[in-house]
Amino acid sequence: MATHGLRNTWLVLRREYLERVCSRSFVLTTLLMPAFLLGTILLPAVLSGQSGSQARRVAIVSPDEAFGKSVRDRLWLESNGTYLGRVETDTSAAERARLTGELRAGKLDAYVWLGPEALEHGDIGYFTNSPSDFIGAGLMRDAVTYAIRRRRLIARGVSPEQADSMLATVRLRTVNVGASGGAQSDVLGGMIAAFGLVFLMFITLLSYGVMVMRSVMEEKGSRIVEVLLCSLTSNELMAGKIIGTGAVGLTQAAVWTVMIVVAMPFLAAALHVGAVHLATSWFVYFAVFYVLGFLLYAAMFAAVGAAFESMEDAQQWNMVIISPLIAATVLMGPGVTSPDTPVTVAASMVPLCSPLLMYTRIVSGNPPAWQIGLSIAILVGTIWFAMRLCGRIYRVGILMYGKRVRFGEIVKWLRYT
Amino acid sequence: MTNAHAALAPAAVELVSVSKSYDAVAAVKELSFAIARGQIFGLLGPNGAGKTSTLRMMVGITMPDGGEVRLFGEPFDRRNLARVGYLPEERGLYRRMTALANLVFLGQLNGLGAREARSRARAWAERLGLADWMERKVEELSKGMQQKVQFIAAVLHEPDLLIMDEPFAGLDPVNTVQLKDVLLELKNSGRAILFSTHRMEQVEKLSDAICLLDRGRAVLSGSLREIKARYGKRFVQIEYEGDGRLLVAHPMVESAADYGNYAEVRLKPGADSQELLREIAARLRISRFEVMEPSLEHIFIDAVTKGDGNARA
Repeated sequence: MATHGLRNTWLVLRREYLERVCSRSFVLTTLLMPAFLLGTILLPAVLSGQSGSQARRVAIVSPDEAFGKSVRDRLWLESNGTYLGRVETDTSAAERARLTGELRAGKLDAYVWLGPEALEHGDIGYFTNSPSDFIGAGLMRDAVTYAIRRRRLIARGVSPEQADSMLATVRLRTVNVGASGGAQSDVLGGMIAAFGLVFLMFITLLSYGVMVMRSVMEEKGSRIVEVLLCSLTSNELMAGKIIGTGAVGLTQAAVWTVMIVVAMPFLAAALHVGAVHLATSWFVYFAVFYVLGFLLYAAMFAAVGAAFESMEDAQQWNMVIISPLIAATVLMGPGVTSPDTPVTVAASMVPLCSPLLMYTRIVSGNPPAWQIGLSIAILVGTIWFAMRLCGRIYRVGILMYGKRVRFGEIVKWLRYT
Repeated sequence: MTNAHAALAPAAVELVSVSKSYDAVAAVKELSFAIARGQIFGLLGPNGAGKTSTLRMMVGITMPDGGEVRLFGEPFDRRNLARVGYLPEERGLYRRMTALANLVFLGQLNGLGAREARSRARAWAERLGLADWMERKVEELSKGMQQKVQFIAAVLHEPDLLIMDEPFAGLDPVNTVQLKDVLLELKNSGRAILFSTHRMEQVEKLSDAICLLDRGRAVLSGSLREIKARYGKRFVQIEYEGDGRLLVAHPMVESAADYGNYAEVRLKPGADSQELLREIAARLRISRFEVMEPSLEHIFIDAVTKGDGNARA
């Protein structure tokens, strides 16, 4: 009997899996979704990268030529050689008008006005032809600040060499030892990767949970369920459907993960972040929390799909089911930046949120093993409970046609033998 | 299969005082009947009589609240469902899968290997004129073709008991004859066949035994021949000219449906049809006077309305 049941579940599972994985829509979304996402991430980066690599022509207007040169050299250094400055010593109004004209004509990208009064009041004008030239403004501010400090130090009797050594900035190498066990990893890149994985978890849980509901509705709507139930039990059918659909989601996530790993170096380069080390454990935990989260949500979605005949009728219950998932996404941001606050820790134990939030903590921090274990244990217990409850609703619901079901009736179904 | 053989073998399915309620509504009340191998059994009843509820319990979709469904002489066990074929009233196939893929999947669920299911499905398709449509998606098939695919799904695993809910619904005359032939062939090879319907003609032509359900109870059950004999030759069809009101009012007549120049008359028990003929021939011009066995439809309506009367009394 048990093996017979397993065979039935396997047959349902296999049909569900193959039908979906071989469908055109699966192939298209699997291939196009990352392309679309990569496009939205990379395109702006590529575009700004292009303008960034282009040499920018800047005029530094200062009556003190040595000071102007000091600004120019610092700017060149700080911008990795992309800001090419020329020093002008003429601070007349006519010169100012001429430079403004050059800016407007596009012969010049920016100029900075370092007249005597400007330096005295620390009120320096940076003129640019691009409204979003905040990188240039930042670089210029740093360069001018550097030059002023250097000049003041020298004015107080410090030798130029000493001044340079006093003003030297250190190079900071950020190493994230938490997730990657000492391997070098860029913190910003790691955060983006963590967000990416958690987002992937959210999307996959949601879309494949809903797919279980649709699939149940389809079988109920086409009445094939009655044919099926002569050959297998509702539990075998529900199990096969949930596992089969879940496996499709896992397949898609796996394909996307491979794509991400392959594309990672290019992504990092395009986004100007350092090498990102993706820990193997991240993927293992992804699978664990996806599978557990999916089982929980799919059970509920299967029950809703069985209880209702149309998407419209199921809509409000849909919202009820996904609201913990939405709530979890609200906590995801704080979870990534500060994974160990009491609120985040507590929320990562709540079964309907934990697949997302505990996973968020795992990829962005180092939650203690007992917390991970507890979260999983609570989740598994909830799944067991939800499966029994939803299995009863499913069993009765799939054979109820032709009338709108009210909540009270569903509660009654739970008592049917 | 011979009758002697059938008598020795246990009934393919036996319902022993089966009851089922949904909430407060009793769908089936203490229903008992048995279907032997090589027998075609008609389960009749108006809409809502409990036919589908009964069938669902026979194929293990639901369980009875009371009583027992025995399959092949054994207490109910899902393992025996592999020997049962079921054609539900509401037809269902996976619309986006091909007809063949549907059949192979359903065949596998009934215990067949994929290859075996495929070759049997093709053989059946050949026989029912579907061979060219097997690789098409179900949604591309006409309603009639889908029905045939559904029928193949029910018989693919060569079940010993075939349970069909309204098998002739929606079939055109050609396909009706084709299905009837197949059913007779299955019956002759020793299979037990149960079909439920509220249409009498097919039952009358095909069934060996019937059970008539009304509001969850069997109001009539047994072999068709015996039931008809029990009702006796009390039905008369009369074609006449004249005032038909005297037919309706005649003391020998229990009930009559008068259509103006044609009437269907049911005699009171013990009434002599020849005497009626003599009496009315004096006052009406009779062109036809035929004493008949009651049709199943008559019996059906009679039994159901009588049940009504009893319920009110």
